[in-house]
Amino acid sequence: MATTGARTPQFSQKQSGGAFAYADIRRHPAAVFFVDSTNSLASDSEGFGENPDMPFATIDYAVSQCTDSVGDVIYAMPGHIEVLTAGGDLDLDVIGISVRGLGEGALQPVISFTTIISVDMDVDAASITCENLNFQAAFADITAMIDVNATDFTLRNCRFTQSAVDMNALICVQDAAGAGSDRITIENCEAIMYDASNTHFVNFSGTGEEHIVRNNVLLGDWGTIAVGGAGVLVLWTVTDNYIHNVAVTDDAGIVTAGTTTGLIYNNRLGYGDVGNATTTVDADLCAMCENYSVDSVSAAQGILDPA
Amino acid sequence: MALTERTALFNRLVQRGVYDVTSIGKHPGDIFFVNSSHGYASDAAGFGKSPDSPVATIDYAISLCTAGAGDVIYAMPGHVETIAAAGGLNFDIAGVHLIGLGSGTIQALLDFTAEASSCTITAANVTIEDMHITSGFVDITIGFDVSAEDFTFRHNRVDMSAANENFLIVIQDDDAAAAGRMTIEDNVVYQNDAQNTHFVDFGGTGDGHIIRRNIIHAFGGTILIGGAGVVTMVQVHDNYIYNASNVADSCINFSDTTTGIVANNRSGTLGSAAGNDCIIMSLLENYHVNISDASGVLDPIAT
Repeated sequence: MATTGARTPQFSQKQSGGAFAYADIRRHPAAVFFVDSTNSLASDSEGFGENPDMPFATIDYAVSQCTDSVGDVIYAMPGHIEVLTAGGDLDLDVIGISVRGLGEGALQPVISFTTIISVDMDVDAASITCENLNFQAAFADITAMIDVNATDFTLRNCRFTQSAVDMNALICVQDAAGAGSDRITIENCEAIMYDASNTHFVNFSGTGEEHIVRNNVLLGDWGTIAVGGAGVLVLWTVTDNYIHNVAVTDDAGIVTAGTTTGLIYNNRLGYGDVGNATTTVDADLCAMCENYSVDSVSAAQGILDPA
Repeated sequence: MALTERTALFNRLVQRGVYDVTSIGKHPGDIFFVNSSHGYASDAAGFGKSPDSPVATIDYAISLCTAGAGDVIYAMPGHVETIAAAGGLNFDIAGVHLIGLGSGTIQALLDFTAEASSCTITAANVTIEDMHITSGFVDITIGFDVSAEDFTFRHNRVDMSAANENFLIVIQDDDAAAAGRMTIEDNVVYQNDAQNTHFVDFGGTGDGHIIRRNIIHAFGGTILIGGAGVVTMVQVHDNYIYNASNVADSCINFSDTTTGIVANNRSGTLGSAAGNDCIIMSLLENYHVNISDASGVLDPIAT
């Protein structure tokens, strides 16, 4: 048995106040911070945030305590609510951080978008990951909830919801910076965004490369495109998504510019128009296999799309 | 329930009196840390046991490992290992497991910077996991040259550092039957240069290879997965392939006497309706498309 190795994947970490912790280095290569708006002792001030019993009050403040490029992690505790009231109210602007929610269902941490249609969360630094958060629209016709302006942004195991009828986001995720936001990954997420004013779940308007959208379940009313956009993308991957789009149009599923390259495999799509169509998946220069779409207002099985 | 004396979270004494707890399931032997971006990193005695005093190179960390013990090397976020010559990084200690930390632009990186640059696998039971691997030179002959058994290449990202900087072959099965049981799984690959020939080239006669769940965007001028070697009981399944070449049968193609199963793969090429050629293997639910705004069809066709 080895008897050397001063810090291991279950490594020891001294904290202010004398606490001592063990953490898995694969998930926590650097500092770890805790955020909990429901904790009465929470405070956005020095000496807090290193312990779940003395957490910060906001993710935004926790981000400000992180260090670029080392892999810091912020845990949002069960029940945490981050209320955003203006554009860029939450700005993820430190390279390499991860924001991870803890808790399920009603306890899953919520990012609540309120007050104004321009409210959003900005992603302004590279290599940022958000996991297990509920991005919730709490105002009518929010322009775009997440505005991605940097490379290597990952959304994993997150939810997109409406707080009530007519509380909605036209766009959930906006690729906003042209070629500047390469390699967006959206995986294992769920959306229930049913307002008839919505246009996109994810709008790829730039010219980024190597985006991945996979294993998501998306239910909503996206009148333009659920996954895709007008941008000419390079080598994107769209696989194994289940999309139920009640918009009354048959070409609003997975649609990209005619010169986008990449692959679109194993997706299933429903839409709100009458009669099966073969244009719900539309990407002329992408490899496409085993994508099925169906008119979801009739009792029919889906068909290969494109033919 | 009886108390257990030692669980998967076991304790051990370490240098300078520090005491720690680890999962024996993932760390049966020693653990070393590498970080070229750390101001105190040094390839010298006394370093590498803590992320706060790491060694500077993976190559040196390997030299600290013990054969057959299951040692783990962690490459910290921001680490860059430059491989500038053939065998510039050599995994020659059996059972070493390299794990990269970080994601995106700070994911630990193996950077190949010369035409002959290669990482050689010359000891058995080596695993490379969660690394960012980039081709930083024109027409690099081979990225990973595998001449030992039970090599695992898992959850890595392989890309080009710039246009025209590419691997002709990413992984080469180099040593006939000696390199059995290679596992290549859950990787994402972007190697789209028109000079490229293979993602993985099985040139030997190994058995039990596994290639599964990879996403491959590449130019496969010869074969992306396969080769001329007669391999035995190979399994190739659930791979998603975009092949920018127009060469017929250049996605999954094994020698006519190779045995095994090829199932649930999806592929497309720019100009050929034939993607797969595996004569006596079990072929199930593999779809291929000649990219043209149409859906893929069974390849080979059902009979």
